[in-house]
Amino acid sequence: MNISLRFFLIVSILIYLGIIIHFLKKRELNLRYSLIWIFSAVSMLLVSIFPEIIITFTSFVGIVDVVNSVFVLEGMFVLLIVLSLTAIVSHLNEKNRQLIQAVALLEKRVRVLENHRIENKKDE
Amino acid sequence: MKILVIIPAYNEEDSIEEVVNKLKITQSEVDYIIINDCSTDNTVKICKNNSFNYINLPVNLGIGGGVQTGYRYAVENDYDIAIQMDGDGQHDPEGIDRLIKPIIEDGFDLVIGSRFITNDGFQSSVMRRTGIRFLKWLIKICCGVKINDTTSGFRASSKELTKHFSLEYAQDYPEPEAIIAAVLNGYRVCEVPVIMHERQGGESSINAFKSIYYMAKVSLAIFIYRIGSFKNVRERKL
Repeated sequence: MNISLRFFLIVSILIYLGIIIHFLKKRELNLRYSLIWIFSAVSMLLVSIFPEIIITFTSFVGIVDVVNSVFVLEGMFVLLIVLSLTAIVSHLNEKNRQLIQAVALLEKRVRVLENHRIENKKDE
Repeated sequence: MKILVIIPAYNEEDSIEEVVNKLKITQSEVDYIIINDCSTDNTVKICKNNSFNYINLPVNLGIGGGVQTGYRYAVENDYDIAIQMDGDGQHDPEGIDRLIKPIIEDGFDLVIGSRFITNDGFQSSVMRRTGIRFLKWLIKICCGVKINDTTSGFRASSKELTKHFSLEYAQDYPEPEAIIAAVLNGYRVCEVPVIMHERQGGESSINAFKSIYYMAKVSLAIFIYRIGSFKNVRERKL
């Protein structure tokens, strides 16, 4: 990795981190779900500052060019984040289902109670 | 012994009235609840005009979420047995006696109404039967239980299993998965012969494309349950 690429990567990742922190400050991102984003940013930053890590990784895995390893790393993070999003959606889906059921059960109870009241009034 | 019949209904305006009335006549001592899963036709109107006992889901949940609502209702109202019965007239309320008998007399937890034991009545299409046979084979290999009519939606569950289902129930095409979940959680499952009719109205929720998805999903579910529940299987009534 030459010096200009490293410089470009470091600057982009710092901007990326800045955006994440900005969102966190504005409470647009839940801290719980942003950890994986921050983790990805920090890992990429480490790799850019200390390219020895990625150079070792490159020769170990058998990738021809160091830059390709950077891409591979990015791709892995994207996959990880998308997977975590699916997990979050599944979780929300489950909660949503439980809520819908609770609302429906309550609606029935209210309906029955209302009918009882109307009948009672008629009797009076 | 309090018994509840859960009738999931999605666009069943052609059949629901007849189904419920027949149920009321043949099984006067059981309660029923219709789960209207956000039907777009006159199902709600019919339920309202006949003052049927019904629950309206505000959002469409699909058959799994709908039936589970019924199980939750059964738990809330302390029913001893919950029976699932389709709202399209396929299932004959006369079969309810046969379904609850193994639960009351022999302590079974899940009783499946099967049309393939005596092979009376409507037998479904060749394509669908092939799929059902595949599931039967899969369930037998993975769970060691022989169930012929794995996709039957005519089934009764004991109080304990109803509680389990109210907390955890498969979402789309849940019938075979529910059997697997019951078996692998240590509940006792059996099958009794019932007679089924051809649906009176509505359309089957399963078509050719969906059936492939169905098979893949159920197979995956069995696999996941199998690798995940070796430790969870409770040593219950064995």
